[in-house]
Amino acid sequence: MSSSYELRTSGASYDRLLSDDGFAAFAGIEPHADDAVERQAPRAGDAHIVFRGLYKHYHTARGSVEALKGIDLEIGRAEIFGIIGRSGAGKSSLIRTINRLERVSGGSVEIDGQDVQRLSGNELVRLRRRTGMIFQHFNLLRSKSVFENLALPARAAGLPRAEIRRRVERLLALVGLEGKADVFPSRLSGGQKQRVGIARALMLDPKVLLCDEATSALDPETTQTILALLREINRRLGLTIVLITHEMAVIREVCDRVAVLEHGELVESGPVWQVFGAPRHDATKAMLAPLAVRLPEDLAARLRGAPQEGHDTLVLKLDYGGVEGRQEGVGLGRILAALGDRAMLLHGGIDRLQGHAQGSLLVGIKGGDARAALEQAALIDARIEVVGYV
Amino acid sequence: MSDVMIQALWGAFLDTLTMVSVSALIAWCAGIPLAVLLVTTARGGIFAAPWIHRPLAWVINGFRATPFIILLVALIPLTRLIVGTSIGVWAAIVPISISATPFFARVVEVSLREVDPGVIEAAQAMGLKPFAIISRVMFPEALPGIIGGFTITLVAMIGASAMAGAIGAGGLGDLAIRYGYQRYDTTVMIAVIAILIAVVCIIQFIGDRSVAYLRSR
Repeated sequence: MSSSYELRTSGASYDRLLSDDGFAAFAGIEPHADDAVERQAPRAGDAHIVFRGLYKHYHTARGSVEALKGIDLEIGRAEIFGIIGRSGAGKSSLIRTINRLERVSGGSVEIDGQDVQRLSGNELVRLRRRTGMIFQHFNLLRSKSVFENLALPARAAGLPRAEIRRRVERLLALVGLEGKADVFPSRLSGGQKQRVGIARALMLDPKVLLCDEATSALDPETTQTILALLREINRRLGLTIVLITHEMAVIREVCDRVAVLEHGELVESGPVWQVFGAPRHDATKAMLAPLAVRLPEDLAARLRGAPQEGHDTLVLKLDYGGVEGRQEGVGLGRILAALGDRAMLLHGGIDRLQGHAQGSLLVGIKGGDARAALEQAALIDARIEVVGYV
Repeated sequence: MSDVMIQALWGAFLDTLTMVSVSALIAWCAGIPLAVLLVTTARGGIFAAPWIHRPLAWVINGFRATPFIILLVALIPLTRLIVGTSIGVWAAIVPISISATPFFARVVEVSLREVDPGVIEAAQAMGLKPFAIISRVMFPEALPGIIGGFTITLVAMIGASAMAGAIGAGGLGDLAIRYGYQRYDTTVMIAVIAILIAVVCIIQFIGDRSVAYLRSR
């Protein structure tokens, strides 16, 4: 696991997080002592939510549609797990099977070893109270103030008035909406509405937070602040967060692990640095394309398949990332040693994802020959691709 | 206008007020549960049950299709059973409320249906039980539409109460027919119409104001 993940899950640093800026007071809303213990030491790899051979069919006028085809997946306790897919990939159905807003057609979903499908009516209510959910369009009640929106789940669960007031105050402080208790949702911005949604989802002190395209209706800047809030909640409360999205940038920003869904099938999953550093499936590559390094337009216009007069600079693409052991940076010495001092950096960059260096570099070699260059380039610890000549 | 006439107008006004307000109370109390039943038992509703929904929808449509003047006469045996007589203010309340209830139920149904399904899903996701979803989420969210619909129902009921006057129910309608129509007493007729316009305007004003207040939040 990456170092940032360890920081988040180790008991000692969690205690530190608990003690700073008055969070201990917030933890005071925790009614079950045993949960507090569980939260202080969330173990990596400890499965919280498990999908086994999950199938989902829909019956439509034009026959049966298979939305999910045999999903096997484990989501660890206290991790932020992203499920990405294009629209219609089945991600929305998948996340809704966790709190049984969708029934499954085959297979099972288990939370803490409990089969969600077999729960009785009352058990289902208890499960849903332990599982918060936020939505793309926030789904706040227009007819109720922020306070009343937050109080709703707690009233329905029969919490005493004083306790509800206490929780609302603490949660509004947590999401940064102090003083907005009496405002109606129509007076709030999109980001503020989602903050209310998050606070409402946390009212009954859940163990799991489901995020259904929670940032898809927000502008990029607001998306960043909401994602930062989700990360903070995950760290402070040790909550397992499952989020679905069609934006790779969201996964990159906040998730520990990611699963890629395509046509109802799970085509790829793993730690974010691995999937981003070395995507295997075409669907993943297609979704990563907007974030990928591409040949700039001026060079692309001059690109030739073979060296020609005026097009004698060989372009290589060096892909770093996705492999174990690249906790350090990219060694420039190796590039120089392999390609000599005629090598020049044309475009690209390296950044760090969960403690792993990753990225792509486009390197030009004046008068370079593809075959010779490839042989020499074997020294470089990257995946190498000949782009052409410019 | 003579003092006697003013006395008669005042009495008729009170009769109309009684008929409309008692019928309105009945329509509110019966219409909302009917609407909830219609919405929740419909396909995709939270208690989906077509075997309840379909007959209920038929009965409601049946009452709404029947012209009020015919309902007025057809319901006489039922009115006698309930009130003990088929004439007077209290006898008129039975057909007025029976005709207004299905109308109001449909209006409320439309408002309830327009509640954002996402909000209902959110309520389910937070562990609300079906009755809590109806009372704590659907009803408050639909309230502006329900109030607007209730205003329309009230105005329709005033019209119905005037018609009930034709079979001896009393009230402003009765007065207008007996004095204004049968005795060619235009003054009484105009007075009655003026009072009715005023009443309708006041109801509409209060209704619009309430809806505007609820929606402005």
